Amino acid sequence: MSLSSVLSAMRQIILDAPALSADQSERLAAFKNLFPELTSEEAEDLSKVPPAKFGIYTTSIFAGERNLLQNNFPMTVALLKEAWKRCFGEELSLFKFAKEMHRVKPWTSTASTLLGRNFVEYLRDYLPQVLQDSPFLAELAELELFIRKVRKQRNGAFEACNGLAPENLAEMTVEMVMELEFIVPKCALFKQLGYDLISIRHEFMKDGSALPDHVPATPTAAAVGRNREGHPRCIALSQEIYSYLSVREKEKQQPIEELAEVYVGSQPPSLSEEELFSGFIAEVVRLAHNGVIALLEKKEVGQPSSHGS
Amino acid sequence: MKNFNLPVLGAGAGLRHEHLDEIVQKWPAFKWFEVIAEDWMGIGGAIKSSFDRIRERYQIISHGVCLSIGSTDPLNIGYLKNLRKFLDEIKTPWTSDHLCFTMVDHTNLVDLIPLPFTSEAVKHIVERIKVVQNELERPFLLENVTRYITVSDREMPESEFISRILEEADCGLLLDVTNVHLNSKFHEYDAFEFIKSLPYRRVGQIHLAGWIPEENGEIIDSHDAPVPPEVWALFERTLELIGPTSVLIEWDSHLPDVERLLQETHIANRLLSKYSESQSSLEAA
Ligand SMILES: [Fe+2]
Repeated sequence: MSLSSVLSAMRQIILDAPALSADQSERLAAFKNLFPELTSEEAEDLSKVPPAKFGIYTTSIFAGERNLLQNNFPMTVALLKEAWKRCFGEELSLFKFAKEMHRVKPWTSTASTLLGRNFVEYLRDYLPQVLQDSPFLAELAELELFIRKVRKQRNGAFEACNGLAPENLAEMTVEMVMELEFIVPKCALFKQLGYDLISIRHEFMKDGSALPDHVPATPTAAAVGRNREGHPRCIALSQEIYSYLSVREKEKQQPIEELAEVYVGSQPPSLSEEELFSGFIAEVVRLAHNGVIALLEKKEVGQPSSHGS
Repeated sequence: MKNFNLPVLGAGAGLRHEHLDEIVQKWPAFKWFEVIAEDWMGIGGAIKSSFDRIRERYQIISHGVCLSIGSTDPLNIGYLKNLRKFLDEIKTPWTSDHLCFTMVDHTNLVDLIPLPFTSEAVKHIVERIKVVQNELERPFLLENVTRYITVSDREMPESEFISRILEEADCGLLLDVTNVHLNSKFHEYDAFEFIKSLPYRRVGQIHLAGWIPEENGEIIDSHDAPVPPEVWALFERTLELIGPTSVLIEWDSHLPDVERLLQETHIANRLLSKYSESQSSLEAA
């Protein structure tokens, strides 16, 4: 008797769901053929199980994966359904999709992020027709995976909610603002996109039926942070700010002056100092509100937050 | 030994992300919450903030779904170490998982798949439970699963399989009364006789759940409805046998609002107090 052979045979029967005869003796012959490592008793025991009962597990597993895809990648799935209709002239069965995806990219760990990575790779590498129709889909799935990661990521030592409230900046003088420091929180993620997925996602989040007819290929520098309430937020950055922030060491205090220099460098030289300052304040408030940076005063060095564990 | 020497917490409910806001606004009178460990381990952000506030007010008990105790893949020690950290953080007096396998050949089946009832499986699982108990250093319970199939019962019936594992590994039982009821229908046996044949002094916790039959009439243990009368009846007979025990209402899809979930725990609490009264009068006599 070998437990591992039995479990392995069950895995194949449940996941691959081979067509099985309604007749037990035919099933026994099939199992002996498919799983030569089983003893005859083990093959006989498995052959006693009506195929429909194995099917309950098959259904439950792929229905579960279908729900995970639907819940974690709402916009990708909505657009995939549209693309599917155009490419194949039929409605997408997300259940069959999950089953086929599992066949070529098995879920090899208990981490649910792996299912997300598999989804991204499956869209990118295995569905040329769909990708030709909607070349942004794999990237959108990756963005939604990022958002999911940022939502769940363990708290860092310094979270956006522990930083200086960005509203306070309105009452500060130029000198006071330039004295501040900032960090890029541990959970923040940065990504260069080939499409402007940020604005179409904003529309979709407001109204789940707001799907774009066309997604233009507009290079977009994206950042995903966690706002002061701890919810993930996704914003577009200028290329200059992106290049600067995306390579900062996470959670390391940096003088805000540096960020100001980068900001000024990204602006037209015709702007007055006043315009530059107010524009910079607005940008800092936006970054801090969306948790892409957290603001702090210099004295906070070495004072880990009580909420950060 | 009674209740596997674990405290009796009354009736609790499963904590679900969808209910967090309502719970931190209303602080409903739940006696305790059970969390699916993997959903809450290593989280941060808004969910973590709400969870931390809830932890301050309610006892939290951990329940896992990813251990895959029956698998022939090696035990995932990294997972156990993370789980241990989580259990310490939430100060759970015990934890549990399922008597089944979820992974094999390094492939996740994402479901609770039943095992063959063989001596080989008993020995294999007992050894693995000992590793788990060592890593987690707190009482550990295994739950009997719903099973739509019998993989093999030529060596022993399910009750003997469970009993041998619990006794040989000195492990507790999370008795899912709904699962016993459903299995008794699927495999045509007497549910209460089955419970009586288990080492019921090892029952540290009970699960109760309901289901809505599928469109084709098939019954799946879907945790998406109130506990039905026949399960309440079996629960009551179980309490008569083992005395009051911590009990949890499992409701995982088609979630009701918090108030409805709370009502379900009230029913369980009324039955628990009925049997704690009868038990104390028995003890006094
Ligand atoms: Fe259960």
